[in-house]
Amino acid sequence: MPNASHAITIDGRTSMEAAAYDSTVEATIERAVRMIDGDRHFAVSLWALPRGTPVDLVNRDEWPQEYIQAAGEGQRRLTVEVRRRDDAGGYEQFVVGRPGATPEAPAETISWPGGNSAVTPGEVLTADEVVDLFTAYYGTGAVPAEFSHRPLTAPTRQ
Amino acid sequence: MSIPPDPGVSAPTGDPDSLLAAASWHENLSGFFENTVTTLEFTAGSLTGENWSGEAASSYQSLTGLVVGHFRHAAMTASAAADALRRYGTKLLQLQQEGVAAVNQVVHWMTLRAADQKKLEKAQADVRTAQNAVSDAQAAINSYVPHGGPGVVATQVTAQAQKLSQAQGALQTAQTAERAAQKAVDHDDAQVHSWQTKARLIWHEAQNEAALATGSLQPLEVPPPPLAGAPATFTNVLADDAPFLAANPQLTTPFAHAIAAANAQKNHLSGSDESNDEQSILNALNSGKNLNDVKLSVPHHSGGGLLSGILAGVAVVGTEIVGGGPEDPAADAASAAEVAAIEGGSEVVEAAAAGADATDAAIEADAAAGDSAAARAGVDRGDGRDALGRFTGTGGYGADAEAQGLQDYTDLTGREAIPDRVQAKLPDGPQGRYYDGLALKPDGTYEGVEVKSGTASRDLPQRTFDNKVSPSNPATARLGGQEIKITSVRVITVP
Repeated sequence: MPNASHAITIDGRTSMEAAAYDSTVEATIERAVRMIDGDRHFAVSLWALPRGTPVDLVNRDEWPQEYIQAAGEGQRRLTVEVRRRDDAGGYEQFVVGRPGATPEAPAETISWPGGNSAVTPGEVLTADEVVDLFTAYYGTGAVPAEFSHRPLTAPTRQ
Repeated sequence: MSIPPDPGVSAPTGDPDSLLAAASWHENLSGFFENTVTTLEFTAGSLTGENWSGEAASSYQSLTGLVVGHFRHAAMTASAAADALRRYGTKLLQLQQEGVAAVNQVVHWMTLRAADQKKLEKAQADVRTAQNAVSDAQAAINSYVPHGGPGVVATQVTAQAQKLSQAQGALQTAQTAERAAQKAVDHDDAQVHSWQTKARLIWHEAQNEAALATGSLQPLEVPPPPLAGAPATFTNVLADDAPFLAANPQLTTPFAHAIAAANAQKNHLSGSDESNDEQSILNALNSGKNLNDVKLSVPHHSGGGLLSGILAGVAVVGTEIVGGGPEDPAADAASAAEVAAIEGGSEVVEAAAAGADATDAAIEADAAAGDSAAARAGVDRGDGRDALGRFTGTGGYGADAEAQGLQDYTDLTGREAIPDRVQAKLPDGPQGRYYDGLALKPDGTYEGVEVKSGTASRDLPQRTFDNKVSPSNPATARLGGQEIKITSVRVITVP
């Protein structure tokens, strides 16, 4: 069995290693993002596996605590969120927006079967942008600083 | 140089990386034992009937069963230990990071409180000064004796009244500042209390996890394979049977390694001792010497078993709140019980369970106003996300979980997952393994796809088998009448 550092979860349901398969891990990540069509597939997340732990030994009720996820209606209307540990003993989750997006109230709704999320126009992202964000997250554990971060207010410490 | 304040609480101690490494170590150990079982069974299966018969063959067959049973039990035990260590290591990693952040917050708010307390003391001093000024102005008015003409008296009365008014105004200002300073100190106090409580809850949670891990590990003992202490009839037969050893030279090294490793593990021996023992056993096997005459290394010092040693290095003993934090008798009782459990003792499991229960009750009580809701993967908490914030939805094909998983694999990899369950076999053993699907790779070989639902995970034989599959050691199977090679394995989890 190959050892992967990250796993991909499709539609909040199916998880498997983010492996190279027939190309590179980055190509696998891109393929995962481009699967989102708002119908057959509505969401993808990328998260780090505990070291040396195969995906079937991960307790999904408790892990991952940190991840990047995308959901949406199609390749041009996607929302991206990141959950990460904060400095205050818990976790923060925020919506990622395009660089230079001005702070404003969420006026757009990204919908998918069984869910939706209110976002600002600057937070409606394309698949190309989401691929870049996911690839950066895979490499560094974070999204590039120039992207805007709007905190969600939902409880996040578990 | 300023000394940081004592936060009164601690983050959970321990080394999650070592725990995870220990988990991998036990996983490997388990795999080795399982491989040995496969080798023994394969060899026993090939040494029957026309190949080998007679008293020695019969003894060999029956005692091979005994040895296999021990190895299999050891493999399962090591696997259980690996699971417990991995679970605890992962949880401790998370709790440590949260605990450190909480302790940092305690220090932050204590530092702020010290600064605000100084401001409060100054404000209180200002109030006292202003009160004195008011008293003095009031006393001056009370003791005023008019002198001079009416115009002068009027001026003097007005001046004294103004002085009193100013003093009263200053007092009011000082009292307002005092109230503000007091409010800031109260807020700081509340924050310190809140973060100490959170740190304490995290710490107790880590203790709870440690107790659970202890409860899982304590009953486990990886028994040494029985060869060194086996009935003389077996080892005599084994050692005296030249045809057997000549026919199965591949068995000697695994045997020797297993015996030496088990002895080293049991007795905390060094790597060099283990190597020396292995060589001694090999020499005995190769020279036909009875294994009962082989002297293995003995412990250089006394101590607990390996598993308890691992836990002792990471237990949270000694990190109880040392003062300043809010106390909770229920939690403290739980803590004492768990620390006792972690440190070992004959009533370990009971104490751990009692401590865990008490801690759970304390945590639940303390967290009533907090935010430690139970996580449930994939269940919408009301905002299109589950308890950990992950998107939820109802999309999909309406297929069953396994079919859905195979379809998702196909979508992600571009390889069609064929849902045929065929038996795969490795070249070194008779035991087979069924995968839930097979996917053709560009090089013409296949990937075995295993789908696990809910909380299920692969059992030990499955993991051992999977770990051995590689391009250089492919498993074979028949698909559509053709023999195929399986060179990799992929595991998928679905709800």
